Amino acid sequence: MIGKRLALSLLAVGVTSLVVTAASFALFSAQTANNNNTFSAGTVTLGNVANCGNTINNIAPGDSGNFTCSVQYTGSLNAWVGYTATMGGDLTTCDGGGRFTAPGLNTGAVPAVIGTEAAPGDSRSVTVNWAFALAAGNDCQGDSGNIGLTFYAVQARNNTNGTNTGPNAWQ
Amino acid sequence: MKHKSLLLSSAAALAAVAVGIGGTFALFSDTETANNTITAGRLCIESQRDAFDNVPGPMFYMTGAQGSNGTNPGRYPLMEVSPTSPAGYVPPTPGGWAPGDSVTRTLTVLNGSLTCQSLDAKLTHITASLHAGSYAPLADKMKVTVRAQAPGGGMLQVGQAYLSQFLTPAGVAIAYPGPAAITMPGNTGGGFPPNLQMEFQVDFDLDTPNAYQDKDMVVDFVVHAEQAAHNP
Repeated sequence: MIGKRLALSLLAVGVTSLVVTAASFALFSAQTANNNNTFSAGTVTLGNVANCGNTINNIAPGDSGNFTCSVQYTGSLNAWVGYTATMGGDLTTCDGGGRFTAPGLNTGAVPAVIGTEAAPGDSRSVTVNWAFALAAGNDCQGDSGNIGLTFYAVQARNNTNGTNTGPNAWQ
Repeated sequence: MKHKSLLLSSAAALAAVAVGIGGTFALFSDTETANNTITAGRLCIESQRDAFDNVPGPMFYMTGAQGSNGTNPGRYPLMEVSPTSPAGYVPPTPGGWAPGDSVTRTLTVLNGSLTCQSLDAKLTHITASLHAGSYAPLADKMKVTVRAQAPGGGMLQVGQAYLSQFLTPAGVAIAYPGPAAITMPGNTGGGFPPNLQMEFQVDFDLDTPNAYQDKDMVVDFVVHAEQAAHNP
C-alpha cells in the first residue's frame, strides 16, 4: 500500500514538473497598433517649353532682336527653376567668330536661376537678346546659328541657399 | 434464573459486538469546504496619437481626411490645413514629402484601460507593416527614430532604423540607453492606467533620387509588450 502511494505521488510530481517546465517559455504579451500612417512623396516636374522654337531668317549685319522662351512648373513641391544655354552653328564661327552673339545668355554648365522660388503652376521665362554684328563679313552670308535652352527644376525645400536666391544644388 | 440472566447478558454482549462491528464504518465526522480561486492577470496595452489630435487615428497623414477619427478631420495634416487645424498651423510637408524632410509625431501608450486592469509591462519592440499598393522601396529612404519619456523626465532615444527594418518580423528592439528596459506599471488596482509618451521622428533621406517622386505608402506601426514580472 505504501509503495503504491509513493509511486502515485512521484508520478504527480513528475507531471507537475512537466507542466511548469513548458510554461516557463510563454510570457504574457500584448500589442497596440497605430494604423493607416500615410506617406506621399511630392514631385518636381516641368511642363513643355513654350514659344521657343523660333526660326529667324534673312538677318543682316547690324540686325538684333529677342525672343522669350517660357516653361511652366508643374510639380507639387516648390522649386527653383533655372536654365543653361548653348550657341552653335556656322554663324557663331564665321568671319573669325563673335559676329553672332547673345549678350547675357548663360552658356555655362551651372544653371542660372530664373526669378524667385516657383510654386506649383508658376511660369518662368527667359528672354534671349541676340545681335548680328554690323562688321560681320561676307564669310557669314547664308550661315545659320542655333541657340538652345535647357530648363531645370530642383526642390526648394531643404535645398535653398542662405540668401534665399537659389538652390544649394541642382541635383 | 441465573441461566436466563447469562443468556440475556450474552445476547446483549453479542448485540453490542454486532453494533460495535457495524459502528467501525460510521465514525463521527464533519467536513468544511473552502474554494480558492486563482486568476491570471492580463496584459492589455493601448495607444493613442497625441498632441491633442482627434482620436483615434494615425500619427502621420497627408490630408485631413486621411487623418480623420471617423467624425472629424485630423488636425495636423502634413501637406494641408484642415478645418480642424489650430490657427496658424503650417503643414510641415506642403506638396508632399521632399528629400530632407523630417517630421515628429507623438504616441501615448497606456498600460491598461478603464475596463482592463493590466499587469506591469515591458515594451520590447516595434514592428510595422505596409498596406497593399504601397511603394515598398520608400521604406528604405525613411529613417525612423523612436524616443520614449524617461523616468527622470525628458525624452530618450530608444530605437532607430530605416522603416524597412521595422517591416521585418523581428522589427526594431527598443530600450533606454544602457540598455535599460522600458517598463510601465500596470493598473491592477483599477483606476486610470499609467501612460508613456513616445515620439516617432521620420526623416526622408536627402539623397533620394527622382524615381521616388509621387510614390506613396501606408504603414501600420505596432508596439509590442511583455509582462515585466520574472522577465529581466
